[in-house]
Amino acid sequence: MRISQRCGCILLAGFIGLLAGGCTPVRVNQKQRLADPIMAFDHDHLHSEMMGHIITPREGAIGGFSSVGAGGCGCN
Amino acid sequence: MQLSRFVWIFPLSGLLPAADQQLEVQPLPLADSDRPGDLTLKLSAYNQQDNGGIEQVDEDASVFEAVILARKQITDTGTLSLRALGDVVSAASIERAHNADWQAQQGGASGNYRVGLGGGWSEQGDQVDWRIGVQFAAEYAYLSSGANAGVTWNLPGRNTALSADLQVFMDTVDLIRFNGDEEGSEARDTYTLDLGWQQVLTPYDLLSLSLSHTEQSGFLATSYNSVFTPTSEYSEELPDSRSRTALTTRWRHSFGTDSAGEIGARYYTDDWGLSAVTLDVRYSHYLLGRRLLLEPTYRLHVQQAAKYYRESFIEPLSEYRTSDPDLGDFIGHMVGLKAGFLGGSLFGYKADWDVSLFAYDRDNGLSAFWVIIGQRVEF
Repeated sequence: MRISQRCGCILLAGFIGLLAGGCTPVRVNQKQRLADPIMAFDHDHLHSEMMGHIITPREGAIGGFSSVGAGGCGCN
Repeated sequence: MQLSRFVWIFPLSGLLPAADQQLEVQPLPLADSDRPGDLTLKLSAYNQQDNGGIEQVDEDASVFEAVILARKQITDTGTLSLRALGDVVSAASIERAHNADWQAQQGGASGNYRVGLGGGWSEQGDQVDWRIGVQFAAEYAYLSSGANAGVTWNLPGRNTALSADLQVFMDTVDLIRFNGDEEGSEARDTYTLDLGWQQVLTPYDLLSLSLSHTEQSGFLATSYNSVFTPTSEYSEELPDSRSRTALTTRWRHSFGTDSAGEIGARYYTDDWGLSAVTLDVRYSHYLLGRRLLLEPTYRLHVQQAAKYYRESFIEPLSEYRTSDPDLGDFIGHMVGLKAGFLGGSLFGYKADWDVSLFAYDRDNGLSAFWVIIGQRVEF
């Protein structure tokens, strides 16, 4: 198993562990902090997309951050 | 060097709904004139310095891009968005000294422009949000048309959101090789399915998991790319299909009323043998009474090369081959800082400005820096 594959497994296991350990219902009146714009994962969507457009072609990987995928341009 | 792969997709927002969209109580109906809208202009300037990469090719490059996005809530639940985009590209590779007869007719590297238009509609409901969009783009030797559709389910209690997004691109590549040979046109089709899960963990923590799978078919090499042997130069050749999968998790934590931080990680793999792990750390902090928002960023990308990649080749050549540094082994570090100036006004309308600087250093010698400036006006 290559190093990156092991990292992928660790990533998934870590996520499931976090979810299992930390997932308790949060009431509406407890969500004031979560509703702040800076708590959104990509609160400046256009900026995030432009970052994805710049970074993604420089890397062989796609997906995940900023939802920029393949296709739509002249490179692989 | 891949200069023009500035992919342009169109969901109105990201894969998952923003926290405020997900958590707020649905607003009362508004009169038409009260429905919100905004106009955003972003400009970017990108510069790449060639201190490595392909030895025989000068890979210095610069790209300037402008994007205009207009959004307007048209109904109580529906928002229309329209977008226009333009790129100007210049690259030293169009004057490659090793091939003086080459007339710089190649596609992406010397295309020197790219234009695009798109539009989308999104609906926000009590439990279900959905969105659709279309887009078209043209550049020298490349045409693209795409569409996307997505849906988000907000589970009761609005602590969990599940989403699914499908993107389709039907593109056409004019095959103009590194030596100027023209070999007609071929299709490139791309289908991407994104599945997302966003979870409220605590009053201060959000977590997301997304699985992205892409199937591509058609001409997937970069037509003007080439590989070198000690005595000659040949075109890049890559398979006509590619299956790509990425698993990403992101955790965002509120440190207080004025600050939040995020750590994210992605594992990527594809059937060309390329795999990568990416770590992304971000911090957001309001200053000056929330009129200034500073956001430093760090990104680490560790990539293992595609099985067809070699820095150089010897005859006889294998069926598939590439020396594209973007498909090779490398470790990259990116640092950046974004400053947002909030709560201003322009001609009586509420307006925000932002400026960002980024530097990306790769251990294969191709480093870059870029700046993005933006202005957003609400109307």
